[in-house]
Amino acid sequence: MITADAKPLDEVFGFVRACRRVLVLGCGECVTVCHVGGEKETAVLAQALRLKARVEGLQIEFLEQTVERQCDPEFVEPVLAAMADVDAVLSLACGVGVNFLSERDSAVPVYPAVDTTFMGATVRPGEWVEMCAGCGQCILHLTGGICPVARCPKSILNGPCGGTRDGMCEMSTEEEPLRCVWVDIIERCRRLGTYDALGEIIAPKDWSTARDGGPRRRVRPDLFVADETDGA
Amino acid sequence: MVVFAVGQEADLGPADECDLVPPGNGRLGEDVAPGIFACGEIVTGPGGAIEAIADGHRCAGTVLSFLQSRGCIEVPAEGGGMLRELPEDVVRGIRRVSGTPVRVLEPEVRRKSFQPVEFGYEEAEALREAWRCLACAAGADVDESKCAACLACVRVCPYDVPVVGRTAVMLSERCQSCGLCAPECPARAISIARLAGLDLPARISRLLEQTPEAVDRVEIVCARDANSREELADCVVAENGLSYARFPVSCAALADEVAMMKPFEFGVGSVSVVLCRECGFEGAEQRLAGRAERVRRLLDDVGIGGVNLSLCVPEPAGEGRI
Repeated sequence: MITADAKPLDEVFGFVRACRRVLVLGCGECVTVCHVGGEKETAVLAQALRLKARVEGLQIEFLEQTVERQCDPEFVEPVLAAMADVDAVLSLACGVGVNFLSERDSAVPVYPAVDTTFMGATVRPGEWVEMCAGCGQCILHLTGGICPVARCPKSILNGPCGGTRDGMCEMSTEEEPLRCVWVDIIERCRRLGTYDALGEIIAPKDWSTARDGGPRRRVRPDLFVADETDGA
Repeated sequence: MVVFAVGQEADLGPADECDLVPPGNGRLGEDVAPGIFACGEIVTGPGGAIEAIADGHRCAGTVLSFLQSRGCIEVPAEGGGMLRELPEDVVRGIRRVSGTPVRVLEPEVRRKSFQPVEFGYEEAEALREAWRCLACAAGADVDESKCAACLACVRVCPYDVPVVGRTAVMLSERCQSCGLCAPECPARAISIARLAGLDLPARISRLLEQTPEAVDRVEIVCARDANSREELADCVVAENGLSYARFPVSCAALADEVAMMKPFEFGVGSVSVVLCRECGFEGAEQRLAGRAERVRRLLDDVGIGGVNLSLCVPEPAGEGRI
């Protein structure tokens, strides 16, 4: 899932300080699962903002709504009508949702209420770890299913580097311990019986499929609906 | 000889005079008059109180549909069916609460007297006895259209109730209606049937909007320690020169973040969540403490000050902030 963190309340309030009516808009997918932007967090943020407005002596009305996903036109469409009636939207979706809404209505600003962080997994309740960098050219078949691109601070393809110590990365700290992902890859490949294959040098990746190649786009013409033939 | 010590006939009052007495099975009033509804023992004749209450619930559902649809009567489906046999581990997990004995006349007195043998319950005893209700099949229910299958309920539930596939499903025969899952659900997809209609933020808004003078302190109080029915109603009271608004709830440990913040919107100085002497459900207090800590941080950010929210456990467990 895509994970995110709540922005500081002061920062969020600063976006809408001059508004009279604000739509606080949650998203029912990834940000719900990571407890930052679902219906509950939408209610909590809206309530905290009401208190903040009161403390600052401002009259701002905060409306609440949560949609299934903020990244599909069919789910976003009903929000557009509500947007016509507000001065701003505070979106608790990931950055995708904020972009998607912003492109649909230029008259009403859509502000992010969360900082979108990474694609990751819930390793235990309350802890999420980045596991995929979306580089566009997966090499997990070579590394025992554990990704050095996402999980090594250097994204090193042929590790470990000299910074590994007792299974830990040199970036590891007491507060935020970080295992050397290459140690994990080697141990995993030993178990899988593919250790010898690690001796082969992984060739430099073509990073043009990653963010380095600019904004990416995915097209499946077979999924186009009839009247969108030029969608590609 | 059997003496029926129950009411045998309904007192229909004004309905009698208006010739609106429902004949036979006149539950929906269609054969009586449009918009007249009858339920319970005036329809069925003498029976068990439980059936009469259930009939009242069904009738209320019919009236609701009548009012909402402007005259179209739709009889609500019969309840959710019988609970299956409870699994053994569920039976073992049910908290035993012994009954409050009814005081009776001493045998020596009884022998020579026609006084009623049982004294019945005092109000406080009756309330204590009522809390023994396990709220069977009145526990967690999931709105599948909202559920994100995030697993929060699975991780919170002490009784292994939720099963999560595409959405969570609550196994009603396992659910002990503790309600722990509802305030933790990030999608607000879980409702607790026994707490239906008790929207605490709405109650807080309603009372404080109607109270012209400033309220110094709001207390969200666990109703389990109540000694009288009066203590079960939302109220504003004055004590020691301060004004308090009290909101008794079935379980104060289920107060969510919005409920704890809501009173400050009305200029209330401080909020206190008062738990009962003995919380019946494992982990409820810790979960509440976690949510309260978060609210305190938010109140600090807002400029109201987190110190104005406190959690209290009354005597004998010791009073004070957790």
